[in-house]
Order: sequence, then structure tokens, then C-alpha cells
Amino acid sequence: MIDVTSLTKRFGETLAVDDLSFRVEPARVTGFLGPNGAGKTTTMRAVLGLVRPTSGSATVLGRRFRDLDEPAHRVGAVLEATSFHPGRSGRNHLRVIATEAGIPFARVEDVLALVELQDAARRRTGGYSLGMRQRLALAAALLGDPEVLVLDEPANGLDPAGVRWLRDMLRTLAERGRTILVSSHILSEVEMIADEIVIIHHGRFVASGTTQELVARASGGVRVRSPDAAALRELLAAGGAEVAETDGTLVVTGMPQDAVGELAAANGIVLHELAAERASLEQAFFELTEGTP
Amino acid sequence: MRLLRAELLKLRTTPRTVVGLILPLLAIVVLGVVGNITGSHDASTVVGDILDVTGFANVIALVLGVLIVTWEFRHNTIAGTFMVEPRRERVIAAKTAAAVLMGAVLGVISIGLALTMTYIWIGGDPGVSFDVWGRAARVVVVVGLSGAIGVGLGAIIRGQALAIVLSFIWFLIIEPLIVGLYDTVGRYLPGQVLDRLSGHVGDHPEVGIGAAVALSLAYTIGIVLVGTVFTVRRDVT
Repeated sequence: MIDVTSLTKRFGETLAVDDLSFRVEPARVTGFLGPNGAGKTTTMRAVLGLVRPTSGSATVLGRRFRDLDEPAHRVGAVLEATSFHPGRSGRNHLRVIATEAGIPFARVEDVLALVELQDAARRRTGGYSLGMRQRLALAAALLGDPEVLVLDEPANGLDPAGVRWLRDMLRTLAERGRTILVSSHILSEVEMIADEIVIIHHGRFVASGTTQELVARASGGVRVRSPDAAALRELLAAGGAEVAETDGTLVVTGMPQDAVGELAAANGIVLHELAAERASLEQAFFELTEGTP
Repeated sequence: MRLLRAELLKLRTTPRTVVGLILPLLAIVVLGVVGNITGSHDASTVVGDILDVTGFANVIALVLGVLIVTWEFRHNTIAGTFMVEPRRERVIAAKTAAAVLMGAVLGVISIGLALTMTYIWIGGDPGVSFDVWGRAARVVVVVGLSGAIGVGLGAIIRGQALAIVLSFIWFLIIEPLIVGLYDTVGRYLPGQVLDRLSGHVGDHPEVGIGAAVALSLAYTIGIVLVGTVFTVRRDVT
């Protein structure tokens, strides 16, 4: 679990993070979304004890990072893709961290296999592609088999297959109860990966909720097709949702996708389609951040 | 201990850098020995002159100390290191220990090479008027301290090139200038007391050996402490 409480960080004149609070729960993938310069990296670095908050706090598993014992076994992080000595091989990079953390070298081979980097392990990291660097960074984060993962733009530089691979790996880890915070400025990416989303802009909290909730809050809403559209429409309106109809398709706002489906099932209404508008997270994002000066 | 082992592993796994530092050292030592012996030197003073040449190991140890800290900032591996050990003072302590150890090794290598060459060349004991092994040990100590000073400077300045250039400017230009102009002050400067400690006899008045030991340690510890305070306080961005 990660708790950010009234976190404020000022670098000289620049207010990077402004009274930000949110919580990241275990067993889910939480997306940390905001445009470039929104304060995502600063917030993550404060969580990891690398940046000292001007005020407020950031804790992991109920403690400040520097008060954790054996932090490598509690928290793993991916920061920038370039965090390697270019003259050191991938395997040796991991062995250095393993030595610092008191982790046996056998585990280095395990994580190399996990990120599918065994074949390149002997090569100097200076010759790695961006995707390989991301995999190596992720391997380093996983070395101590930590309970919490903090990943800053981990999908950066990955090809579509790499993003899918990353999503599956994060999904598996979340299912095993890990707490996972993943930042991104690319909405479609977060939508693919995250269960929950925290949105910030100009260092300030904008919105949080499940990906579905946020989707439902956007004007795009949930698209529903039913042979019994009229009855469904009444039920939805009674349930507090706004419904628009075009060519026999209902567009529902103000109610998450799951709730629409459940409502229909509870009333025995057949659905032919139930889908979140693909672009709607994008819309949600712009709507939510628009009002923020 | 884990951290010190990791620091030494970092050095072992970047062999090009380490070799790049040791080769010029060996070259200077070999040239120095050859130059001194083939020159018109008196056999009884040649060993002292050759030991002075091994003082070049100080420069290499200083650069190595600087690198041990600054390459982590340069390649951004410092964040990873601090995430494994957030008590940053321990990280600096391990780096200092690694630099002292490596410095001492560099000192031993250069002295070993120099004395072996000299004794083989001259063909036995040239009959020197001082304790050669005592001098050698003092050179090794000073090389070790130079490594620690490098770590402190690297931690304060963080920029690799800047730290190396600034320390060269200080030790090779500013300090000799001050010594030349005001030798009453100059003799207390770090380069001078370290030189005195290593047993090198210069052209200017020097502090006593007791003061040289105390001041050398004070400078080294002071610089490392300032570097530690900076490291603990600064954000890693």
C-alpha cells in the first residue's frame, strides 16, 4: 500500500507537487496519469525516498521509505530507462544490486528469465535498445520480489507486443497481491494496463477511481444496444444515469459499465452490446483537466 | 559489508575504466624509474626520487575516488543504490572504504613495480640512508587518503569532469601558487601536508610529522563528511 498525504514539493520557485493526496491499494494495478510535467515523477521519487517533501508525506506499507528495513524486498522501482552504467553487462548490473541487497546471484538468473533477457545478459548495457533497457530495469525492480512496485513510464519504448507483455506481467503480479503504481502520460496505455487510475495535473489531484468509473464519467459514457431499449432507458434514468439515444444505441453517462449490465440482468433485459466508448478515457481526461488552471 | 562488496563489484565489472586508470600509472612509474636511474643521479638518493615518482598514484586514486561517486550520478544508478540502502551515509562510507582500499592497492602496485625495477637494475641494495619500507608504507597511506578525498569531492560536486578539473586546478595550480607566495599559510594546505606525510622532501618549509598526520586526517575526514551531508540532504532528481 502506498499513501500520499498532502504532499507538497517545491523546487526553488517551481511548485512541482501541490497538496496531493491519494492511496494505492494492493492487488490492483493503479495507473498514475497526467500530462508531462504534471508532477508524476516527483511524486514517485518522494514515495521512494529520493526527494524530500517540502511538506506532507509519502509512505509505503505504512512507513517512510527510509524507515523500511530491507527496502529491496519491500519496494521495487523502475525510474528512467537510462539508469545503467553503459560499460557493465546486464547480468552484472543486476549482480551489483543483488550484492547491495544481500540477494543470491541465482535470483539474478530468475529475473533475467522472467523478463526474457537471458540472451543479452552478457552484453554491455550501452548497446541495449530502449525496450531491453526497460526489461532490465524491470528485472532490477523484481530482484527482491517486492510487495510494492513503482514504475515510472515503464511502457516507454516498448513495442505493442512489449506493452502486452508488460500488462500481462503486471496483471499476474497484482493477482498475487502486489501493490502496483504505474505512471504514464499516454491514456490508451493506462487504460490497457490499469484497474484504478489517479489523475493529476499541475501537481494537483484531479480525479481517481476505477478505470470504468472514470470512463463512465466522461461524456462518451457506455454504449448499450438492446432489443428492449425503451424499457432499459427508463430503468437507467430511474437509476440516476443520463441516457441519450442514437439509431437504437443508448449512450449512458453517470453509471459505470458494470452497473448498466447488472441493472439489465436484474430486470431480465437482453443486451446485444455493452461497451465503454474507446476514446472516452481520453475525453474524461481532458474534461477533468480542463477546469484545472 | 554488503555495500563495500557491491562497490568493489562495481569496479570489477567496469574493467575498461579501471584499466584505463592503472595503465597510465604504470607507464609513469616505469618512465620515472628509467629516467631517474639513467640520469646522473647518485645511487644513494635515487631510491628516494623513485618513491617520489610513485606519488603519481595519488592523482590516479583521487580520480578513481571521484569516479566511484560521480559515475553513479552520471548514469543515474544512484537512485537504484539509494533505493536499496536509503541510509545514504552508509553508501558514502562504503564508497570511501572502497576508494581507500583501491588507493592502497594502487600504491602497493606502483611501489612494488618501482622498487623491483630499481633493485634489479642497480643489482642489489644501493645503500640508502632511510627506511625504504617505512617510506613505502607512508606513500601507500597517502594514496589511500587521496582516494577518500576523491570520494568526498565527487559527492560534493557530483559532475565527473568538473570534480576532476577543479581538483587538478587546486592541487596543481592554486596550492603551489599559495605555497610560493605565502609559505607560512601554504604549508598547512591539504596537498602540502599529504606530501609531507608521504615523506617527500620539498623546497619549502613544511609542518612537523605529527601535524602532517593530524591535518591529513582532518582534511580527509572533513571533505568526506561535507560530501556526506550534501549527499544526505540533496534530492535525487
